[in-house]
Amino acid sequence: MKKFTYLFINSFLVFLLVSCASVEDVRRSTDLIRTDNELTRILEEDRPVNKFDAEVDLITLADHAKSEADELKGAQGKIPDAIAYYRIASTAYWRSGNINVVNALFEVSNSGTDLCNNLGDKAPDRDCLFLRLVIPFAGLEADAKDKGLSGLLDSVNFNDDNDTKQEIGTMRIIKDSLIKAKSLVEKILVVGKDDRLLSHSGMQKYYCFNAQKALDYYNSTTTVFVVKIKEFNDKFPNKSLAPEITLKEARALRILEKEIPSFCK
Amino acid sequence: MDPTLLIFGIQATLRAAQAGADLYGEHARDRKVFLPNLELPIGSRSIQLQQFLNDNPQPASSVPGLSKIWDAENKELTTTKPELIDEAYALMLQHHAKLKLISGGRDENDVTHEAKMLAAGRMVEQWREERRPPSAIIRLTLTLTDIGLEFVQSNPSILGVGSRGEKLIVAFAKNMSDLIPDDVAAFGPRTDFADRVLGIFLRSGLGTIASNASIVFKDEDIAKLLQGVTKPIVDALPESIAEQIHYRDLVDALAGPSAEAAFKLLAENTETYLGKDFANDKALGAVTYALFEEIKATAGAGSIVNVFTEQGVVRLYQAGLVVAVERPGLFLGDDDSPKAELFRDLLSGAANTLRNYPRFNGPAGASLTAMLLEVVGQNASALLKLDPDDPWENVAMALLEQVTDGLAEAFDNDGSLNGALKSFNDGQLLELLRVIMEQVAQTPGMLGIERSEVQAIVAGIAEAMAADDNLLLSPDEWIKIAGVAAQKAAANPGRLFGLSAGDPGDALAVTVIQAVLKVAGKAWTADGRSDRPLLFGQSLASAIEAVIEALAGNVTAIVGQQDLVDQFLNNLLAKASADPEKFGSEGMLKVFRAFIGKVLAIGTLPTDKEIDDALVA
Repeated sequence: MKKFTYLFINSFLVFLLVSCASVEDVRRSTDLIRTDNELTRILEEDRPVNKFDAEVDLITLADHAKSEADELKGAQGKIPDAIAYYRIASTAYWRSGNINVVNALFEVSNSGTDLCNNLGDKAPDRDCLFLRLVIPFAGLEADAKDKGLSGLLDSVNFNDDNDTKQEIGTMRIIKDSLIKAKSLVEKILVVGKDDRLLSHSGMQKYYCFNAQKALDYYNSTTTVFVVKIKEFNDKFPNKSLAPEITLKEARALRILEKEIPSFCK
Repeated sequence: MDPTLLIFGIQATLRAAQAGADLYGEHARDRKVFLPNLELPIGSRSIQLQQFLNDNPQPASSVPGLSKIWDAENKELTTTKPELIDEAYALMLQHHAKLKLISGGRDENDVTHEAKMLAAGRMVEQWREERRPPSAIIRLTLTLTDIGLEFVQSNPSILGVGSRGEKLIVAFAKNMSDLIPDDVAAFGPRTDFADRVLGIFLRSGLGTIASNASIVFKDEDIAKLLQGVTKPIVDALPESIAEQIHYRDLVDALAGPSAEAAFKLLAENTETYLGKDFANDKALGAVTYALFEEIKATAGAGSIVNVFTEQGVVRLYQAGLVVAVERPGLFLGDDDSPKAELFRDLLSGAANTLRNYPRFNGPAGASLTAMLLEVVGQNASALLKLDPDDPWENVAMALLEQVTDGLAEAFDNDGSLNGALKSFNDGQLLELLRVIMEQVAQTPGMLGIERSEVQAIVAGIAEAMAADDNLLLSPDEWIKIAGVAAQKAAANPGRLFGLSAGDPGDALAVTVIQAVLKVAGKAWTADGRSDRPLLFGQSLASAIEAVIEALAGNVTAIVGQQDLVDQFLNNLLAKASADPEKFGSEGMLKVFRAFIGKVLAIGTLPTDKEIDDALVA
């Protein structure tokens, strides 16, 4: 009887410990779902209406997801959860559009990607693919919006037979921006080589849509830049736009080392 | 109970709970989640076109507006010139819209028009997305759309499919390119301004339609209105910012009423002359250009706005438009070119003349000028026949000067009116002049620079009215007398009021009217009416009218003996006072009318028997 009593007490203690652990797992899973749902709600419902309020909410949500992920990343068996939280945090930081959280975006993206690499073949497909894309996505958006490339290009008009210093300066800014954009677009295209995309139809569609979008944006913008240089050369045949801005270099900008994957075409 | 079973039960529960927690965790991580897409700017029109043409080689090569800006070999635009890009962009939007309609099951042949409409809708969206201002044509399109939507809410009935409102908006859209010069780049800062003015005119047009259930404006009428009225306002926008501020303020105040005046005129003409051309846009343009150039040129205290007020300027403009519609040739040169200077001279001349008469500053002066302008305008052909070398605007100016100079007889030194005129309000004063001008309009021969017949009539009536210090007659009664006097004077040139403006008091009619007033005034004390006055108000007015009418007949006696009328009236009043049962005001007037002609002709007063016979007749 005494032996049975010990066995029962031990089993009950294990039960308590395991059940506490299960409760914590359930709580965390519930929080993960809730956080994901909240992210979706902010992005789909709040952000289109009020970007400022959404920005604050997104950063708060990202901070929460980051703290959960940081807590989980060292725990055995909890790495996928940590990666999921990093995916949420990186999405929220990216979509907040706040330049003050750029470092946090890099941190969560890199931490998540490191965890993905550590898991090797067991790394969750979607979250790990997304974590590779989020930095070039954010960078390309920032480059396009902060500089206002489209507006800058439109502000340059050599057809009026006038080449102002400001226009020359603007052309230089546009060129620098396009160089950065080129690097980012190529980073996006590199992800297209990831074999996981071949069999993950959902991510394949997501990737193809956004990669094509990035490529179209880059190609069109760069081509108009080339046209501007041609117009300058036509209007001012005896002038040089700037030593570092030539038609040849501009055309070279249009050539990318990588192509969009065939499964996207 | 077997304790082992209890332990197994606990362990099973534990395993199940953990498995459930694991499964739940897996579900939390692996379920579908939302991944946001890249949000890249849609890009400028050049960038969008580059992408569109790159992706759509068929329209890029077959649509002329697209192929001329596309280098198919290098797959790049050939130019970024805004005017070419804007044109191609509109075609691109139409192409998108067409595809959308076709994919919705519509027949390709039917969708061209609707595609254009959808393209306009897309332009709105496009503009909201872009931070830089859209091109002029797109901006104007947006304005039309916005105002149309605004009216849909307040006046849904006028903006259904195929409705009058829709037709008006389409007419504006078709013709608004008139507001944009060929050199779009030169349009520059005028874009905002043109946009604003266009909006004002469209609102006025829709407002006119809303308040008139039968009006339908034709495309060509709207084209003329935009070309002749809206465009000159835009074109007159000064270059310098300081002048622009002043001009924009004035246009803000004047463009709305001006547009309403133009649409009112158009509506009236549309109703009256169905099928007839509304107006010559060059003539309208000359009037509008003259008005806004004059406003711009005479800023500050010297401005016509300063003399006439904004309300008055609009009244003048309306009068100018009426003349331009009715007699467009008056504003056109021999080579059919607009002659804006004519109306400008008239505006500035009228302002200079009326500036000296504070009573005619403001809307009253404007209404007076407008009235004279209309009279001269309507009779311009007759006037030009009288003296082909006499420009009609000179006649108008001369008429204004003659009227104001004539009225000067009734002004005190302090600039206020005296006698009966001091009780006249602006409306009554204008009505007084209007009845005279109506007569003048029927007798164009009274007009003319050298002939001052109008001035003599106005001065004579003013002089006569100045004698009515006791205000024995009301303004309305004086207005009626003026009408009769003008009519008789027109029929008897030089007789009633003479032709000498130097001393209108010498004029026969003035002398006689003053005599009648003098007699009537004796029965009027400083405290008011004396006992049984018979000659005031309506009876006095009738007596004066009778005298004036009689002056058109034989006046041999009165010319030599100017107190005859005094004697006659005093005689009648004495008899009436002595025999009140026999004489009332009606009886007295009856006798007066019966014998005034004879008195003026032969100077003999009626006998008692003749009076008694007249009373019972």
